[in-house]
This record gives sequence, C-alpha cells and structure tokens, in this order.
Amino acid sequence: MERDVICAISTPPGEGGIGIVRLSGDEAYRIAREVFRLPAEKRAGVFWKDFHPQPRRLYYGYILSDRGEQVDEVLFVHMPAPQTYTREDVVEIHAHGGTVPLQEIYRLLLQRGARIAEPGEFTRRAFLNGRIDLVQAESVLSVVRAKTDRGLRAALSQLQGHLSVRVRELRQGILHLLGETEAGAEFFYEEAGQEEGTRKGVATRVGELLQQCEYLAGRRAQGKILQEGLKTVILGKPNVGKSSLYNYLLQEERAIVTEIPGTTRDLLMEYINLRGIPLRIVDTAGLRREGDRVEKKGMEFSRKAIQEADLMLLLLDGSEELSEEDFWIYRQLETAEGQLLFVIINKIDRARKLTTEEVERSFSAQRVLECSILSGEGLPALEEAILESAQLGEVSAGESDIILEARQGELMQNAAESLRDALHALEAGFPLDVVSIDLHQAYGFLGELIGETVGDDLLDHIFSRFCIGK
Amino acid sequence: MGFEAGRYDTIVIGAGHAGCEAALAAARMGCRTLALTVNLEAVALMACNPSLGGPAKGHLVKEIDALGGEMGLAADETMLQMRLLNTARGPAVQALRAQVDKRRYQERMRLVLERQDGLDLREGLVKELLVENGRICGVKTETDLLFMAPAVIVTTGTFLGGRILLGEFSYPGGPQGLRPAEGLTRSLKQCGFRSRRFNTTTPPRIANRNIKFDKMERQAGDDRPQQQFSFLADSAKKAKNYPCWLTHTGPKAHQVIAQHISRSPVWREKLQGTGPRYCPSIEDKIVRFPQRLSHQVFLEPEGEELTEYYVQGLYTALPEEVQQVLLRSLEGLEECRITRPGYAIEYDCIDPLQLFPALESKGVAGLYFAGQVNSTSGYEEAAAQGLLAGINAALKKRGEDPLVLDRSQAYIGVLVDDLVTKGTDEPYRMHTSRAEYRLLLRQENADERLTELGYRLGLIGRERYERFCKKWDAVRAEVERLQNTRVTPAPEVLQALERMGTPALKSPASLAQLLKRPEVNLERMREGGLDRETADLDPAVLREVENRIKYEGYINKQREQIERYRKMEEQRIPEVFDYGAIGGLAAEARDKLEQVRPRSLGQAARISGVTPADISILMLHLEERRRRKRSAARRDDAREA
Repeated sequence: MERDVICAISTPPGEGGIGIVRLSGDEAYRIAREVFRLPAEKRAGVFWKDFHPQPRRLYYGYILSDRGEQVDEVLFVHMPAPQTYTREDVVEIHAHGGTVPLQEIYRLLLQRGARIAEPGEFTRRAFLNGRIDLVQAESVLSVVRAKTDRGLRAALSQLQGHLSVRVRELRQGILHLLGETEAGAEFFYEEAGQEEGTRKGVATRVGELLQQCEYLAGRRAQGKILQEGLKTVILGKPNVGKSSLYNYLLQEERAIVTEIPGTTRDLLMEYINLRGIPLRIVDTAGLRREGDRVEKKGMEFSRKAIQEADLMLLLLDGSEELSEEDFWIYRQLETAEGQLLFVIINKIDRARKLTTEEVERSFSAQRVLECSILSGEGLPALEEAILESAQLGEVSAGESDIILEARQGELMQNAAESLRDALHALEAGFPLDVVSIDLHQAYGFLGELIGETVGDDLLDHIFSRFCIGK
Repeated sequence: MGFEAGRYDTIVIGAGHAGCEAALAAARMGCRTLALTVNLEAVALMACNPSLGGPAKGHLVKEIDALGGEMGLAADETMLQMRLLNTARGPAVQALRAQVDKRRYQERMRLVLERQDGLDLREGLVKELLVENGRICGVKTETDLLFMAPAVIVTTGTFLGGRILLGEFSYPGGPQGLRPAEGLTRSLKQCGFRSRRFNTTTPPRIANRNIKFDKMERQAGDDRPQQQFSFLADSAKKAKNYPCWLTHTGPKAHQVIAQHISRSPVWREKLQGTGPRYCPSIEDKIVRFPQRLSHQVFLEPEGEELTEYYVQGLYTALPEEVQQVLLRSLEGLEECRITRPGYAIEYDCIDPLQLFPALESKGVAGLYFAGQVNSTSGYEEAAAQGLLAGINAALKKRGEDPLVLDRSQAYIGVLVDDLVTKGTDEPYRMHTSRAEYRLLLRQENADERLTELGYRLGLIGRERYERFCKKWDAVRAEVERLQNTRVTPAPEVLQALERMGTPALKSPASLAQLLKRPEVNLERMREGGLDRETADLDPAVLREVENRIKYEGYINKQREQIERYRKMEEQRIPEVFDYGAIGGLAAEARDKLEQVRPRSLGQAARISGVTPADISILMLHLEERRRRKRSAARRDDAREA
C-alpha cells in the first residue's frame, strides 16, 4: 500500500492571514512532530519525544529550524486514521500566511521524509482508500479548480450531492417506466389490450424525463465556464478604447488572484469576476497593425486566442467612420460554432459618425452595442450582455447551480439520446419490451454518472484522472 | 460401515427435473452414471402444475433442448395443448407454454433414463455424503449401501428435510405422499454447507365429475401451434388441444378464507422459511391485496386419461374441509369433489453462493448441486441447472475446462450467474426482465446460441447438427436476399403495397427496408404479391429472418452492450487473491468478495454489497499488480539479455 507521507501547502499562494501545510500518510505525525515544539519545550530547549499531543485537538506551539531557530508560531493538529479526509494519518500545521514561513515549514517537512504531493493526490488517496466515490472525487477537483465563488458553490453543492439527488430521481422515474414496459410480459394471464393506453402514458413520461436530461446536459457548458472562465478577447484598432474597456472590466475588486501569478502576465490575460462569472480576458497585442511591424509570435498567439475564445468583443470608434483597419480586423475573425461576436461602438459621448444600423449592415455579429467607456454610458448594458452570453444572466443561485464535469455531461447526453431513441421507437410502433432496451440504457448511463453502476470505461477514466505509479 | 454396492463416474441424488437432465447429460457424455431416487414412481414428477414453459421458462426449455437436453422433447411428445404467449409483444418475450400430460411425461422420461446406455436408475435414499480430503468420493444410503464416485450431483428438490403442512396437521414428507430425504441435511452441514428453509404451496386437485364447465370460460391452446419446444419436434404430428377452464374467486370465497385463515399454517407463521413471491398462496393474496375482489382460477387437466384437474391459482394449506367450502364457492365448482387437498411443503436448500459457476461446490471438490436445492423454484429452472451440472461433472472427468454460460449467451447463464453471484433470499424464479440482453436471447434462436456447443460436447448428434447448420444458412441467405432485392415505385409494386395496406414508395428501396415497416411482414409481402420467393421456406426460418430485419437496430444496440459487458468479464481476477490485503475495501465488500470469489471484475461488480467504489479500488489493484508483473518480466528479460 502506498502510505508514504505526502505534504502540500493547502492554502492558495499569496499573502493571507493564515496558511496551512498538510501531511498525510503512515508517518505523518512522526515527521511533523519532529519540527513542532510546544511552548514548554521551546522554553526549556528540549524535545519530549514521548509526549504526544492528543488527537483532534489544536495545540499552540512553534516550528523550529534545523538550527533551533523559530520559523513561525503555529497551531498543530494531529488527526489519526481512519476518520480523516484521506483515511490516513493526517497532520495540519496552521501557520501565518505569506510565502516565506510557509515555504520554510514545507522545506523542513520534506527534509524529514515527506514527499511533495502531486496535484489532487490527497483526493486520490481519499478515493483509493474508499473515503469518497468517483463523483465526489471529481467534485473535489472542481472545488480545487473553481475560479469564483459561484463555481465553488456549484462544485460544493455537487459534493453534497445535489446532482446525485437529481440523477437519482431521474433513475427512479425510469425504473417505474421499466416496471410498466416489462412487467406485462411476465403475467400472461392478465388481460391484454391495455397496451395502447400504456404506450401513450409511457411516451408522455419518457418525454418528461428527456426534458430533464436535456436540461441537465445543458449545464455542462456552463459548468465549464464556471470552472474555466468565459474566454473573452477584446479586439480593435489602436486608440479605439481597448485598454479603457480592459481596465473598466478589470476594476480592482474584480481581480482574481490566480495560483501562479506569473502566468497571466506572460499570456497577457487576466481573470476577473463579473458578478460571479469568471471572465478570462485576453489582450490582443498581436493584432495591432501598428506600422508594418507585425510580431510573428504575438500574431500567432492572437490567432490562438481568437480560436479558443468564447466571446469576442470588437470595439469601433463611434466618432469616426468605419476604416479599412476595422474591416481588416473583422476579416481575421472566423467565428466558429458556439463562438460569440459582440461589436461595441465606443465614444458615443462624442459627435456620432457611425450608427448601429450601419454596423449591422457591415458586420455579422450576435450583438451590436453602444457605449462610452469614458462617461460610463451603456456599460451596464454591456455587462448584462456578457452575462447573458454565459447563459447565466437569469440563472439564480440554488439548485440550478448544478454543474456537470465533462464526463458527467457526456453521460447525461448519452442518457438523453437513449430516451430520444425510446420516444422514436414508441412512435414507430416497436413493442414496449423492445423500447425498454433504450430505457435500460438510459438508466445505465445515469447510474454511471453518479457512480452507482460500473461503466466499462471506468478504468480508463480513473487512470486518466489520477496519475498512477508506473 | 456399509456394503460397497457399486462404483461409478457420476452419482445423481434425485431423479426429478434436475436429476433427469443431469444423469442423462453425464451418461451421454460417457460417464458411468447412477441415478438414485426415493421412489421410481417419482421420476420426473410434476409435483405442482401440469404445465411447462411461459415467459423465460419457455426460453429455458428451448435452451435445454438446444444443448441436447430432454425436457423439450418430452414436453412436445406429451403435451395436451400448446400456446404461444405474448404474440402481441416483441420477439424477446414471446414464449411457448404447454399443458402437459403429467403421467405420460413421467413415463416417457423414466423410459428414456432406463434405456440410456451407461445410466443405472434405482431406488435408494441417500443419507450421507462420503468426503475425503475435501473431495467427494461417494454416498451412503439409509440402508448402508455405499456407492462410490468422484462426482456427485445433489438434486434433492423439495424432498430434502421435507415437511408437509395442511391446516393444523404437519408431518415429515415429500410431495404427493412420497417420503422425504432425512439425514442428508445433517451430512451437508457436516461438510460445511449453510442451509436454509424455503417453502411452497400447491393447490388442491379435483375430480372432473360434477364440474359445470358451461359456467366457465374455455381457454384453448393454439389450433395449429407455430412451434414446439424441441428442434427435433415432429411438425407433422397433429397437435392436441385440450382446454383449460377459467373461473374466479369472489366475495364469498374471500369471506371463507378470511374466516378460516387463522387455521392455515401460512397465516399462523407455523411455516418455516421463505415462500415464492411469484406464486403466492391464496391466503397471502387475500391478505396482501385486500382491495382485489376477485382472483383468476384456472382448471388445468392433469392428463388425457386422468380424471383430475389442477386448480391453478388456489395455492393453499387451509384445512381440507375449508378447501372444500372454498372450492364450492367458485362458479362452476359448486358440486366439485377434492381428490387431493392443497398443502404447503417446507424443505432444506443451500445458499447458492457456495457454488462456482460450474455448479460445483467451493467447499467439496466434485460435489455439484442443481435445482430446487439451490434455492430456485420451477421445473425449467431445475432442469437447466441439472443439465449444466451433468455436463460439468462429465467435463471434469475428461479433464476439460468447465462449461460456464455467460449472461449474453443464455438464460441458463443469467440464472446461474445470478445464483452464484447475488444469491437469493427467496425461491428464485426466472423472468425475462432478469436477462439484460434478452432481445438476443430469443427462444427462437436458442439453437443458434447453443447447439454448436452441444455438438462439441457430444450431446447433439451429427444429423441434427447438419439440419441446424442448414437452417441458419437459410436464414442468413434470406436476409441477404431481402437486403439486396430492390423494388422501384413501379405501378405493380405500388398496387401490391396498397393491397398490403402500407404507404406507397417514393424512391427505390430494398425489400428489407420495406419489411421494417410495422404493418409489413413476409406473409403479407407474399400475399400482396410483392415477394413470393419465401413461399417454400420453413416458417422457423422466416420468423428469424423477420426478427433479424425488423429489430436490426436494437439487435445491434444489444450487441454493443454485450461488448461492453464482455470487457468487464475479461478482466480476470486470479483464483487465489487476497482481498484482505487491499486497504480501502469496505468490510462488507471484502466479506462478500471472499465468499463469492468472482472470476472477473464484471462478476464482482454484480455482487450485492460491493459498490462501484470497491470495484474501482479493486480495478486499480489488479492494474498495479499487472504493471508490477510486467516490469518484473522486463527486468528478467533485461537480465537474461
């Protein structure tokens, strides 16, 4: 069994009130205790090796360096197996936030024999040790990766089983139907001829179940947005107001601290939190046609950003007529399916030379909006439009915060497909016992989704999700 | 102590439906076989209803026949009426059911056993199993005769520890006045088997005199039965069609039952163990469904020359005099007379989780179990297991791998897999809904699925095998012809379509495409003049051709499901595997896995109490084990090189 001690800083990087270092494994307690000193020990400059803090109680004390210097004041807690997150021995050291002390504690623990945890490894152990099931494991990973509160709430609600509850209801509904489509065949003494009535009833109920499956399958895309952010690209010729819009959207209170700070800067992108919806805004330096100096690398990057974007915001200057450059940028955009293009006429506080009608004639866009970033006019409408594009504008918190992982979404889609087949079969006059093949299939897919049925691809899935020793 | 009375390859304890198939299969596969029965008059006794087949059960009979068993042949020869059920439903659930002449069925089966080379049939009540070093080596009868054999098949049915209950009376006994097998349960327990008690009730039989048939509804079979159970059935023989009769219980009957129910052992909980949920006693029905004011009661003839009727639906253990009053409260039975009262019987059976899928016990090598002793109910279920146990005993003697049918191959596979994987808490009865891949497990393609196997085992003769090959060649050829024959919207085609009552054709289409329309079938195509080529083909071929074309989409769907299922079945778990060494398995799962010792991950996943989380953990460990082995092998290779 893999019980070696893994160790990680479990709080997000950056400055914070406290930071937690967590260990899990057979020797977690021994390793942690070696660097932890109770106040009395520190005062006396000794280490009472045989004194063991009580399990599950928080102890005040210090982490000392190799040379006996105080690294940080901490709270120390030992949680013995099996009632822990990983079902292994777990120790948490609550230190002050901030990179330096945390890194130092982390380093000391690694030195004493702990190993750096792989991403998601605590969860993987929880799963392997039977503490959580696959769906919960997936949800935990979503929680870990959630970019905004809203995403977090959705992931948490799933962890608590909202999705499972819904799916269980669906399965129950299908099971009832199966009772009707199959039972008839067993009791041949009962009167025949009710088949037609039953068929109609079955079709109605299959239709209802299908609707619910389709709705939930639709939550997949949104789930992706909640987790990964709505990829947004701002485009436009120089001085049209890109930076102003960028800065407007990037108001300080909206900025999201990302795990690896350097990354966003390199990629010229930033996460913001727009009323709960994470936006990943990409700057498109490369599409600027300043002079003839087109940077190849920047250009490549811009093209990639455009390809991957969920939403493209093309800014035009309302105080000027449409220019060759505007058209040039427009031509660079090949909107694929599912991609949205909003054209925004800026600077409407000045004398207008460009009307919405004209823009609508010249460009094919999902929305044409007007605003003045300078005066703020039209900006709330723009925000609304962006939220709507994430299809979350009108969604309220609560049950509809259910989101589906890619795998779950696919299974939900499959279930919907099977139910659709069942409806077609009913229309085509297939006998009920044949229709039940589709119903069974839907039932199976939903079972796989919540982990109540073992799917044949479970193995592949597990191995792709959690990296396993070679 | 004891006198050694004979040495055999295989001994079968009991000669009921399981015992007969087991003994015949073993003997036909070359084993010197002894079949011991409590009474020679009890061979192949239909202790309850005089009928065979019905949904899922008919499938089992066809599968038994396809593997070279005897039940289908015997039923065809001794049937009193034949009826195809569920004709309005899909091909998966259509099933044959026969009323059978109970006495002739027994006589015929006994004759087959007696005439079988290598098979000795004799009376003898086994009281002890002889086991040495964990292997069976023979049996001992109540008169201390010793019969020695390396393989023993236990098919004791309801005789094992049998006890009859009727009203306030109860006494040790087997069905229909026969002796029970006492003592053997103790021997089984000494061998380490867990046993339990189940029960079942049978209805009264009544004399045919004084029954007012004109007040009942006549229930005849099919006039010209489309099919019979056996592939070898003589289709030219004129089918008999003796009717059954339908009457109903009413308020008066329910009142009689309610008034006297406290005198029934069913009600007084005097009856030990669990009864069959699917044929409950009338006492049970009244209590459980008080809102139903009437229940159907069928009179089924017991035989052509027998004067008794079986009162199906009136399973009861009420005192005899109450049974008489109850019967006479039914329309048409006002003056009827009981010939044998209904009664309840309890018996010992074993927990089938103690068996491997070959029906050999895990605890004692060479000891097989089949039929009701494995906690099942029904003649067909018993016969299917008997056949499988007989085959496997013979294969073991030959030193060959056991025959294990899987869930995608046969109802027999579903039955056995359910028993040895999930176990059962009540008498297990086969249902079509238990078979996930039932569209591929049609009774009409039972031969396609199993006859090749039967031929290789030596249970199917050369001549039959050739006929079988011809039949399926014809099916394939005909499907191909229909797929390749195209018709155009020419005037004569359009007229034919109109005659057939199906919409016109707008562009050319194959005959197969037309056949997919719900209102079109081959007969109609022939009568409508669209396609006359099928006139000379065997009806069985035509039915299969229709099934294959009409349900092509769904057949393909089920094939894909089977592929996924097989993927999990192919993930083998080593026979010796330490589940205790796997952390993270829930305690219940570990116990169950150790008990069942599944052959594959697929089977493990079907064990109740083993969750998908347990399976994923198991999967990871198997995979890691595999990878370790592989890298160890690589290291060895490297060292050698």
